[in-house]
Amino acid sequence: MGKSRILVLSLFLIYLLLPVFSELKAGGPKLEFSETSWDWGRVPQNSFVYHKFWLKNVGTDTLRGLKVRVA
Amino acid sequence: MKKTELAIGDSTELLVSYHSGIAPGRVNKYATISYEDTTTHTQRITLHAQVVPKVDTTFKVELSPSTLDFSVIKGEKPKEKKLYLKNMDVEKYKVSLVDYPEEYFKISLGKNLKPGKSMKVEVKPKKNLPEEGLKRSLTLELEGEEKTKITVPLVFSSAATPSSPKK
Repeated sequence: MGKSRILVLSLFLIYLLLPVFSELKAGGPKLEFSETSWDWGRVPQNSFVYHKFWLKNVGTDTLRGLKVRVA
Repeated sequence: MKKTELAIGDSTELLVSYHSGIAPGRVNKYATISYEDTTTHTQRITLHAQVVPKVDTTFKVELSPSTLDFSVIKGEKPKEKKLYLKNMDVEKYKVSLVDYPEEYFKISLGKNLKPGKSMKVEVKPKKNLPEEGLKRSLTLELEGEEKTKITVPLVFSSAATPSSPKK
Protein backbone atom coordinates (compact mmCIF):
# COMPACT_ATOMS: atom_id res chain seq x y z
CA MET A 1 0.00 0.00 0.00
CA GLY A 2 1.47 3.33 -1.00
CA LYS A 3 2.23 6.09 1.52
CA SER A 4 -0.38 8.34 -0.07
CA ARG A 5 -3.09 5.69 0.32
CA ILE A 6 -2.23 5.28 4.04
CA LEU A 7 -2.39 9.05 4.48
CA VAL A 8 -5.80 9.27 2.76
CA LEU A 9 -7.11 6.36 4.87
CA SER A 10 -5.82 7.98 8.09
CA LEU A 11 -7.44 11.31 7.22
CA PHE A 12 -10.70 9.52 6.45
CA LEU A 13 -10.59 7.72 9.83
CA ILE A 14 -9.91 11.02 11.64
CA TYR A 15 -12.86 12.56 9.79
CA LEU A 16 -15.11 9.68 10.90
CA LEU A 17 -13.97 9.86 14.55
CA LEU A 18 -14.09 13.66 14.92
CA PRO A 19 -17.71 13.80 16.18
CA VAL A 20 -16.89 11.10 18.77
CA PHE A 21 -13.93 13.07 20.11
CA SER A 22 -15.82 16.38 20.20
CA GLU A 23 -18.70 14.66 22.05
CA LEU A 24 -16.29 13.28 24.66
CA LYS A 25 -14.68 16.69 25.06
CA ALA A 26 -18.02 18.58 25.01
CA GLY A 27 -19.04 18.79 28.70
CA GLY A 28 -19.90 22.33 29.74
CA PRO A 29 -23.36 23.76 30.42
CA LYS A 30 -26.41 22.28 28.71
CA LEU A 31 -29.93 23.66 28.74
CA GLU A 32 -33.01 21.45 28.97
CA PHE A 33 -36.60 22.70 28.62
CA SER A 34 -39.80 21.46 30.28
CA GLU A 35 -41.42 21.80 26.82
CA THR A 36 -40.17 23.09 23.49
CA SER A 37 -43.52 24.39 22.26
CA TRP A 38 -46.82 25.69 23.59
CA ASP A 39 -50.20 26.24 21.95
CA TRP A 40 -52.65 28.60 23.67
CA GLY A 41 -55.40 27.55 21.29
CA ARG A 42 -58.23 30.07 20.88
CA VAL A 43 -57.23 33.44 22.34
CA PRO A 44 -59.53 36.51 22.44
CA GLN A 45 -58.43 39.56 20.45
CA ASN A 46 -56.48 42.29 22.20
CA SER A 47 -55.56 40.19 25.23
CA PHE A 48 -52.42 39.09 27.04
CA VAL A 49 -51.93 35.39 27.62
CA TYR A 50 -49.12 33.63 29.46
CA HIS A 51 -47.29 30.34 29.79
CA LYS A 52 -44.50 29.26 32.08
CA PHE A 53 -41.61 27.12 30.86
CA TRP A 54 -38.94 25.59 33.10
CA LEU A 55 -35.29 25.65 32.07
CA LYS A 56 -32.67 23.42 33.72
CA ASN A 57 -28.91 23.22 33.43
CA VAL A 58 -28.27 19.50 32.88
CA GLY A 59 -24.64 20.07 31.86
CA THR A 60 -21.37 19.74 33.75
CA ASP A 61 -20.54 23.43 34.22
CA THR A 62 -22.31 26.64 35.32
CA LEU A 63 -24.50 28.15 32.59
CA ARG A 64 -23.98 31.91 32.15
CA GLY A 65 -25.45 34.80 30.16
CA LEU A 66 -28.93 33.34 29.75
CA LYS A 67 -31.03 35.57 27.45
CA VAL A 68 -34.39 35.38 25.71
CA ARG A 69 -35.52 37.03 22.51
CA VAL A 70 -39.02 36.72 21.06
CA ALA A 71 -39.74 37.06 17.35
CA MET B 1 -36.78 35.04 33.45
CA LYS B 2 -35.66 35.13 37.07
CA LYS B 3 -32.01 34.04 36.61
CA THR B 4 -29.31 34.62 34.02
CA GLU B 5 -26.91 32.12 35.56
CA LEU B 6 -27.65 28.50 36.42
CA ALA B 7 -25.41 26.28 38.52
CA ILE B 8 -25.18 22.58 37.60
CA GLY B 9 -28.62 21.02 38.15
CA ASP B 10 -30.23 24.41 38.86
CA SER B 11 -33.43 25.53 37.11
CA THR B 12 -35.35 28.73 36.44
CA GLU B 13 -38.78 29.66 35.17
CA LEU B 14 -39.38 31.50 31.94
CA LEU B 15 -42.74 33.26 31.83
CA VAL B 16 -43.72 33.94 28.21
CA SER B 17 -46.41 36.53 27.50
CA TYR B 18 -48.17 37.09 24.19
CA HIS B 19 -50.47 39.94 23.15
CA SER B 20 -53.05 38.72 20.65
CA GLY B 21 -53.55 42.04 18.82
CA ILE B 22 -56.67 42.72 16.80
CA ALA B 23 -56.29 40.63 13.65
CA PRO B 24 -57.99 37.23 13.92
CA GLY B 25 -56.15 34.17 12.61
CA ARG B 26 -53.45 31.64 13.34
CA VAL B 27 -50.23 33.06 14.82
CA ASN B 28 -46.86 31.36 15.25
CA LYS B 29 -44.10 32.95 17.33
CA TYR B 30 -40.61 31.90 18.39
CA ALA B 31 -38.60 32.57 21.52
CA THR B 32 -34.86 32.15 21.17
CA ILE B 33 -32.98 31.30 24.34
CA SER B 34 -29.24 31.78 24.30
CA TYR B 35 -26.35 31.30 26.69
CA GLU B 36 -22.60 31.74 26.57
CA ASP B 37 -20.01 28.98 26.75
CA THR B 38 -16.93 28.93 24.57
CA THR B 39 -19.43 29.90 21.89
CA THR B 40 -23.01 31.25 21.99
CA HIS B 41 -25.56 28.45 22.14
CA THR B 42 -29.12 29.07 20.98
CA GLN B 43 -32.25 26.98 21.36
CA ARG B 44 -35.77 27.78 20.22
CA ILE B 45 -39.25 27.30 21.62
CA THR B 46 -42.33 27.70 19.43
CA LEU B 47 -45.58 29.39 20.46
CA HIS B 48 -48.94 29.12 18.71
CA ALA B 49 -52.32 30.84 19.06
CA GLN B 50 -55.57 31.16 17.16
CA VAL B 51 -56.76 34.75 17.63
CA VAL B 52 -60.57 34.92 17.73
CA PRO B 53 -63.13 37.72 18.29
CA LYS B 54 -63.98 38.49 21.93
CA VAL B 55 -67.46 37.17 21.29
CA ASP B 56 -66.52 34.00 19.47
CA THR B 57 -69.38 32.44 17.51
CA THR B 58 -67.11 30.38 15.27
CA PHE B 59 -66.70 27.60 17.86
CA LYS B 60 -69.55 25.43 19.04
CA VAL B 61 -68.80 25.92 22.71
CA GLU B 62 -69.62 29.46 23.82
CA LEU B 63 -67.53 30.89 26.59
CA SER B 64 -68.26 33.94 28.72
CA PRO B 65 -66.82 36.20 29.84
CA SER B 66 -63.78 36.23 27.54
CA THR B 67 -61.60 37.66 30.36
CA LEU B 68 -61.85 37.22 34.14
CA ASP B 69 -61.16 40.46 35.97
CA PHE B 70 -60.55 40.17 39.74
CA SER B 71 -59.73 43.86 40.25
CA VAL B 72 -60.78 45.47 43.54
CA ILE B 73 -60.56 48.76 45.40
CA LYS B 74 -57.43 48.78 47.60
CA GLY B 75 -58.10 46.96 50.89
CA GLU B 76 -60.91 44.79 49.52
CA LYS B 77 -60.50 41.08 49.01
CA PRO B 78 -60.77 39.81 45.40
CA LYS B 79 -63.76 37.53 44.94
CA GLU B 80 -64.26 34.24 43.18
CA LYS B 81 -65.30 34.54 39.51
CA LYS B 82 -67.12 32.11 37.29
CA LEU B 83 -66.56 31.24 33.69
CA TYR B 84 -69.47 29.71 31.77
CA LEU B 85 -69.18 27.23 28.91
CA LYS B 86 -72.25 26.42 26.84
CA ASN B 87 -72.21 23.51 24.42
CA MET B 88 -74.11 24.46 21.25
CA ASP B 89 -72.87 21.32 19.48
CA VAL B 90 -74.50 17.90 19.09
CA GLU B 91 -71.45 16.12 20.47
CA LYS B 92 -70.20 15.75 24.02
CA TYR B 93 -66.95 17.43 25.10
CA LYS B 94 -64.53 16.28 27.78
CA VAL B 95 -63.19 19.40 29.54
CA SER B 96 -59.84 19.62 31.29
CA LEU B 97 -57.65 22.34 32.70
CA VAL B 98 -54.24 22.17 31.02
CA ASP B 99 -52.53 25.32 32.30
CA TYR B 100 -53.18 27.90 35.03
CA PRO B 101 -51.18 29.89 37.59
CA GLU B 102 -51.63 27.52 40.53
CA GLU B 103 -49.59 29.76 42.83
CA TYR B 104 -52.32 32.45 42.61
CA PHE B 105 -55.63 30.71 41.83
CA LYS B 106 -57.63 27.62 42.77
CA ILE B 107 -59.85 26.32 39.97
CA SER B 108 -62.66 23.80 39.99
CA LEU B 109 -64.64 22.52 37.02
CA GLY B 110 -66.69 19.57 35.81
CA LYS B 111 -65.41 16.89 33.44
CA ASN B 112 -68.05 16.52 30.73
CA LEU B 113 -70.06 19.03 28.76
CA LYS B 114 -73.12 17.38 27.21
CA PRO B 115 -74.86 18.79 24.10
CA GLY B 116 -77.06 21.79 24.93
CA LYS B 117 -75.75 21.96 28.51
CA SER B 118 -73.66 24.54 30.35
CA MET B 119 -70.76 24.19 32.73
CA LYS B 120 -69.27 26.67 35.16
CA VAL B 121 -65.60 26.96 35.95
CA GLU B 122 -64.98 28.48 39.38
CA VAL B 123 -61.81 30.52 39.70
CA LYS B 124 -60.91 31.44 43.27
CA PRO B 125 -58.00 33.80 43.96
CA LYS B 126 -55.59 32.80 46.73
CA LYS B 127 -54.54 35.30 49.40
CA ASN B 128 -51.20 36.12 47.80
CA LEU B 129 -52.28 38.18 44.75
CA PRO B 130 -49.61 40.89 44.44
CA GLU B 131 -50.78 44.41 45.34
CA GLU B 132 -49.08 45.88 42.27
CA GLY B 133 -51.39 43.81 40.05
CA LEU B 134 -51.19 40.61 38.07
CA LYS B 135 -51.86 39.35 34.56
CA ARG B 136 -51.96 35.63 33.82
CA SER B 137 -54.19 33.20 31.90
CA LEU B 138 -55.79 29.79 32.16
CA THR B 139 -56.05 27.26 29.35
CA LEU B 140 -58.82 24.69 28.97
CA GLU B 141 -58.83 21.75 26.60
CA LEU B 142 -62.11 20.55 25.09
CA GLU B 143 -62.01 17.09 23.64
CA GLY B 144 -64.76 16.13 21.20
CA GLU B 145 -63.97 14.58 17.83
CA GLU B 146 -61.02 16.95 17.88
CA LYS B 147 -59.11 18.60 20.69
CA THR B 148 -59.49 22.39 21.03
CA LYS B 149 -57.74 24.62 23.52
CA ILE B 150 -59.19 27.89 24.79
CA THR B 151 -57.21 30.44 26.80
CA VAL B 152 -58.85 32.96 29.10
CA PRO B 153 -56.89 35.99 30.40
CA LEU B 154 -56.93 36.56 34.18
CA VAL B 155 -56.48 40.17 35.35
CA PHE B 156 -56.07 41.62 38.83
CA SER B 157 -55.40 45.17 39.98
CA SER B 158 -55.86 46.93 43.27
CA ALA B 159 -56.73 50.62 42.77
CA ALA B 160 -56.61 53.21 45.59
CA THR B 161 -60.02 54.64 44.71
CA PRO B 162 -62.84 53.48 42.47
CA SER B 163 -63.18 55.35 39.19
CA SER B 164 -66.32 57.50 39.56
CA PRO B 165 -68.11 59.49 36.86
CA LYS B 166 -67.58 63.28 36.88
CA LYS B 167 -70.49 65.38 38.18
